[in-house]
Amino acid sequence: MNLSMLKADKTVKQQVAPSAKKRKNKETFEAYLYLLPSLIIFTVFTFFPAFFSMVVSTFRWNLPGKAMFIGLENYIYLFTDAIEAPIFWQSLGNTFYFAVGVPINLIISLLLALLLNRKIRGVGVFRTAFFLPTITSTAAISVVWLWLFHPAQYGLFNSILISLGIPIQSWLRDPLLAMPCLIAMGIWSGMGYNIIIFLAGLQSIPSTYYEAAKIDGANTFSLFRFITWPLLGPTMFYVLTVGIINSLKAFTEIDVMTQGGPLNATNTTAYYLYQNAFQFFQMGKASAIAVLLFLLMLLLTWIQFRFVDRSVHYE
Amino acid sequence: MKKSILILVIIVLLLSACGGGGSETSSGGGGSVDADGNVTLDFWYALGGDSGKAIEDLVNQFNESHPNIKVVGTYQGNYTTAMAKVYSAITGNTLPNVAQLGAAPLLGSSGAVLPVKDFLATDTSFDLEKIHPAFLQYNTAAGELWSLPFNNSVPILLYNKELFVAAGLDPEDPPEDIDELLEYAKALTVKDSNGVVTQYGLNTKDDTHWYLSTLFLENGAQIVSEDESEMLYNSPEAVAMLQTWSDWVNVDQVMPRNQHAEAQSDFLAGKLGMLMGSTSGVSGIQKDAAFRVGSAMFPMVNGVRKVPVGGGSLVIFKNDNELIRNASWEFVKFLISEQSSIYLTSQTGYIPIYKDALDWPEIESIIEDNPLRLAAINSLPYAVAIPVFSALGNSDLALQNAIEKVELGSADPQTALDEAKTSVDHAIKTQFSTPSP
Repeated sequence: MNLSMLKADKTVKQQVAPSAKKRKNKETFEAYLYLLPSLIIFTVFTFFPAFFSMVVSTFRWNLPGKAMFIGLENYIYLFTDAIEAPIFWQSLGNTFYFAVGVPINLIISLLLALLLNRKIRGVGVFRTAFFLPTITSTAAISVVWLWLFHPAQYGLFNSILISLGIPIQSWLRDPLLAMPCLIAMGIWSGMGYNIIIFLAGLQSIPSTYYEAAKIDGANTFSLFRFITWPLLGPTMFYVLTVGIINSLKAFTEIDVMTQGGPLNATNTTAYYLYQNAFQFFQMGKASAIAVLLFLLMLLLTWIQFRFVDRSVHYE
Repeated sequence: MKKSILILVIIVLLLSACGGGGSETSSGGGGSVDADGNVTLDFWYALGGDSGKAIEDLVNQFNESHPNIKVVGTYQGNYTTAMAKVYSAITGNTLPNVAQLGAAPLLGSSGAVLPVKDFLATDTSFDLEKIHPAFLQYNTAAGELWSLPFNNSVPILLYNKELFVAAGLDPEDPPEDIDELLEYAKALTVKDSNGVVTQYGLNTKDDTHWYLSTLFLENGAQIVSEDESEMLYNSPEAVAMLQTWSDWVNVDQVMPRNQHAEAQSDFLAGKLGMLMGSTSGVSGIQKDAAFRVGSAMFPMVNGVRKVPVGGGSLVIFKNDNELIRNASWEFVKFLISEQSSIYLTSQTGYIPIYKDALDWPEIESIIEDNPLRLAAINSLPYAVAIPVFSALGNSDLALQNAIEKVELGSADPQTALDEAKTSVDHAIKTQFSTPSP
């Protein structure tokens, strides 16, 4: 390679570069133009309100009164006030308690997805049946489950208990049972979505791996342990992360079924936030709760990315 | 790259700013006036179902009889949702001209509402004296009348006449006071051979604080102090009533434990003898029940009958245009007029608001047509008002929690009410009063 060739090469580059850059800029601009509609909606309905509630959380603002800047007092109040703090802590505890449903849901969904991934008769019917709760509104599901959990002897679950000779229970009206009831319903209604995601994950695993392993003499358990499990990692990680976020912001079923009761046993942070905002109209305090809930979600998601993501194998 | 993001942010900000600014047509409130002086009013209301239909009828009647004013009514969801919308409309300057809302006088402190006295000063055609004073108190906050009563209800006792007959009780002779109530409830409670209750005698709907407050007032207890700075419901008179309530559940076992959310469906299923509810729900229950429903005035305590009113009121929002203000007042006057009050009473479970309404032939004929309305309308003379104060939402919830605690046995009535009082007092002191600078 001689000097003249290098020079020539350089000139070509110089000639090409500006127009390519221009074209790239134009493409970027076009891309943003296409994104504009959703960005506007995102800004107006998500980004702006989120930012606004961070601002509001530094005010005492009891509607319909005027807002007054109080710095971090709302946060201090939530964590240290003799009467408020215990309720706030209890709501955080309830939130984590409710999230216990997520891993249970994961295990059940995975088992069902493994079954539904087999070539069995009528598999389409089963897949549809398990997915149905997902396309039903949470409010409608809650109303039906209210009836299943009816505390009198003619509630469905109580009828079953009676026929088994077991004393009837108050279910949602019993402080000890209310949360497990909500978790059970949440597992049932959240399962369908997880199963579909798992099925997609299972079917993306190439069958050649299984065939090769079988030739090497692997049994069913080994197939699952050394092929399915590691290759399902990214799916699992996604389902876990989304599941935990959804569980932290669960609201509808609590509002319809228990209103946070009995004795605050199902008063999660998300519901507590709603109570403060729309029953007491204390917007500053409610916003502070919202910001704390956001930080909690951020922290949990970060932990999952930091520690769980590491152990996930990407193909 | 960075530049294009910046441009984009600017575009987005501009677009979102246009959305807010462009829609403003008149300064200082909604409504409009055309060149001929015809006024269009925005009216928000918070009643759905049959009651919502009655409001739409009244709006139509008004529009037909007032050619220069056109009212456009919009349903805004229940009281809580509608109030949240009003609050955001105050901030966004998108208020209607008139609204029908629950706990309406609380809006007085927002500065967005016109006090009723502003209109009474120039209009002598309307006589406030004719309205039962409880409804005026219900619309007063901090000594000022901010709203006017429209749809009002009181607590009432509904009962299943078939179950009365089955229990050997006279279906035309419901209990008069809480002692009789307990006797009746015992007779109506049925157990199976294993001692499991299959039918309860008594329950209340899930706005439990309202029924407990009624018992408080009848027993001479106070809810809140005169200056609205502290709750008074841990007095012996109040504790005695929560004790009675607790006994219904824990001692006499005539009321199911913490099952108020199911009370109405149990009643409709014929599994509950007597139900404490609101007069506003009577027509719905009557429609859905497969049995003969009876109604009685809320039971007395020691010969005293007092029923705290609930329901919705009308507010007029500030507006720079005098024509719009006057039209709003005309509309409100129409909605609370005697004719409208009669119409609303005939179409819904709400009760008339006028002192002498029990003597009106129209009201008498409503009762004749539907005897179930008798107890509700007859409650009118016993109407009282619980003061409307900023921490009312906190107080209602605190009372509901106190009831839950005693029913579930986690606190005795004195402790439960002490805790309720402490928590609301604390909220008033730390959250609702202006902090010291």
